[in-house]
Amino acid sequence: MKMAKLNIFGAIGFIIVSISVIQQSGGLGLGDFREPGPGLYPGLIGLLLLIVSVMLIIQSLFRLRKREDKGEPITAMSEGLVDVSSIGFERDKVMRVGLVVVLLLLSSVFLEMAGFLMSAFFLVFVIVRFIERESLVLALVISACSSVVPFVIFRFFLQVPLPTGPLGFF
Amino acid sequence: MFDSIALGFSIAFSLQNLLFCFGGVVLGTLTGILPGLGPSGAVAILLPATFHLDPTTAIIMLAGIYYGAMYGGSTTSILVNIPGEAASVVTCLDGYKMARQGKAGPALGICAFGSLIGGTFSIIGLQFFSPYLSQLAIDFTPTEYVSLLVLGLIVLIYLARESMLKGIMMALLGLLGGCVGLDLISGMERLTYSCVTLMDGVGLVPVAMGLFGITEVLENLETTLKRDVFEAEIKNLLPNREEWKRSIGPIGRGSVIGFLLGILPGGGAIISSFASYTIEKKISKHPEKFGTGMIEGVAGPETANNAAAGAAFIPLFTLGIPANIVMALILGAFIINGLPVGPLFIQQHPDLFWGVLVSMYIGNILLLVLNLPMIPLWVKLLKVRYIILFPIILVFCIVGAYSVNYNPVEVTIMMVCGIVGYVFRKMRFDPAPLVFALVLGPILENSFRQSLIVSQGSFAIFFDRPVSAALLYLAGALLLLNLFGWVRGVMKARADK
Repeated sequence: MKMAKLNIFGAIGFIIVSISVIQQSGGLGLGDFREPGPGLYPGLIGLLLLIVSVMLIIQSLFRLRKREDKGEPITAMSEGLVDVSSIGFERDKVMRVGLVVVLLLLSSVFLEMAGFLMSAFFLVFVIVRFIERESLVLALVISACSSVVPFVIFRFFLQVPLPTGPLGFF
Repeated sequence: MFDSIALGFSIAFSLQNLLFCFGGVVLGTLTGILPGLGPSGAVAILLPATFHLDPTTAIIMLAGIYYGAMYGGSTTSILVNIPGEAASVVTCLDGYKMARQGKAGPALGICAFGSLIGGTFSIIGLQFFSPYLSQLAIDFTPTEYVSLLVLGLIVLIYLARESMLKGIMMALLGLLGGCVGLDLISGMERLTYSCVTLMDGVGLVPVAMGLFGITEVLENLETTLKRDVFEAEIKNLLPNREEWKRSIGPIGRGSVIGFLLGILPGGGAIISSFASYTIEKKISKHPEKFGTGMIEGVAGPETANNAAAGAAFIPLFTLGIPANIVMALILGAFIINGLPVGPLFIQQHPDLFWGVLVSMYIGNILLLVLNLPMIPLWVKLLKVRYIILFPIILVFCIVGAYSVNYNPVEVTIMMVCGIVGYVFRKMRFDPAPLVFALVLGPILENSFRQSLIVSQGSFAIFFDRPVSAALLYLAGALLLLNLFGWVRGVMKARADK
């Protein structure tokens, strides 16, 4: 049942994407099958995506219905939609992953500003020390190794100009 | 042929190529051994590192990672009962039981020898079949390419463990990803949403790294793998006469099954190992003993997955079509290096083809040498905590995505793909068809448009040409097969009610 609900959410996301693509493709010019325009192929793919997404919703609703027929109530509103734990994600774990996601996005935004070494070091340090709750020494060692070693490999051996940031390391 | 092989030897035996072949198989073995990073993740992460290498060296290393991972995966399956990579799932069934009975040594030994035999068999096949298949493929028109690509996508989706509808949705999303950027014919911007970085298209590297690297890290952060590593001393790595006698048939059959299934677009190592296990069980005089520690259940699948790994290079080198997701990433490496892969590839780049081929012979022997004496070291590595592994994956992903175009936006794209990939996995949407379609999308679109222009807008062209029609009928049959399965399930449920 959980998966059927997740499928419906997922399919709705895909429908939004497909409608957006179909709309954009129309603006690009569809042409015709003799002389396909730039929008024809993405438009067709978008249309197919829309159809398959609707099929997934129908299939999932059918499965939910089957459970209901067996006497298991559908509780999409009461137990489902707002409570993350009931749709296959466990709250504590999602919080942990959510924190890491925020850190990842921050590190990508600050990559050029802070430089590779600093952003990679702090990303790993915060995850290991505060999310994985490892000792300070271990967190420092892991962060230092995992930022310096790739830096040396890519900067000096592969000659990749990694961002150095305001401190101008190397 | 002999001149070509001599050319291959001269290239593969250069110091640089030998070192990168060795590096590739070691990295592949590590990837296979350590649960939490599959060969697709490892190839995706290391793809940018190869941009600065000679293309032959780069492909030698990436190929080494792939077939090395097939070797390494069995070690974890046998000693920990956790498959190091997906193709070794079936090895857990009898391999771990053998280890519990004190036969870890022969299990690991037969895996190594079976892998060597299967791997070598497929390289011989690659050597003899590829030049002839290339000649046949020269007659392929864009119409056949469309049908072949559609079949490849359908097979990949059909074999996906989850719902076929979800697989199709992911493949379609990948095809849409392939449309992003400037249209090759009209030069118009498509689906870029005014993002300058997207004008060059959606980069394969950030997407693959995000979906396979970052997603893997996020998923592992929320799970704790309990690794019950086999502690007893591992002895008798060389199988005895009786064990060889029981294994030689499964190894022979595994080589053939793996080779045949490995060639199929969308097929590959996973399906071939399962097929080999099923066949061994069916033809065995004691099928009931499978799952209790039968060496046949280890020898066959492990041989088959290595044979499939080698065979997967055939459609890549002859048609420019990847047989599986790792091959799609390697195709990406070819494209990024400006090497068009297709029927003329072997003629135009004999140095690369024969160099990679001979390096695979060397790599397979290196793997045997690596795998047997170094097993105690691998056992120690299995005890390495994930806390050491994931920062390395994370940082390599960041630096890798950045180094493609020195563009921080691509790092953000990778992070977003990682987050989306995590949500996809929670919802059981397999990312493999998406990446596969992303790589194949531009080829498919070009061939599709060319076919329509040639036929003056008639879709009948796809059914008028016999090879194209046969491929499409096969794809249709697979779709119908899945539909029948679903209808049968529904009818059975109704009957039960």
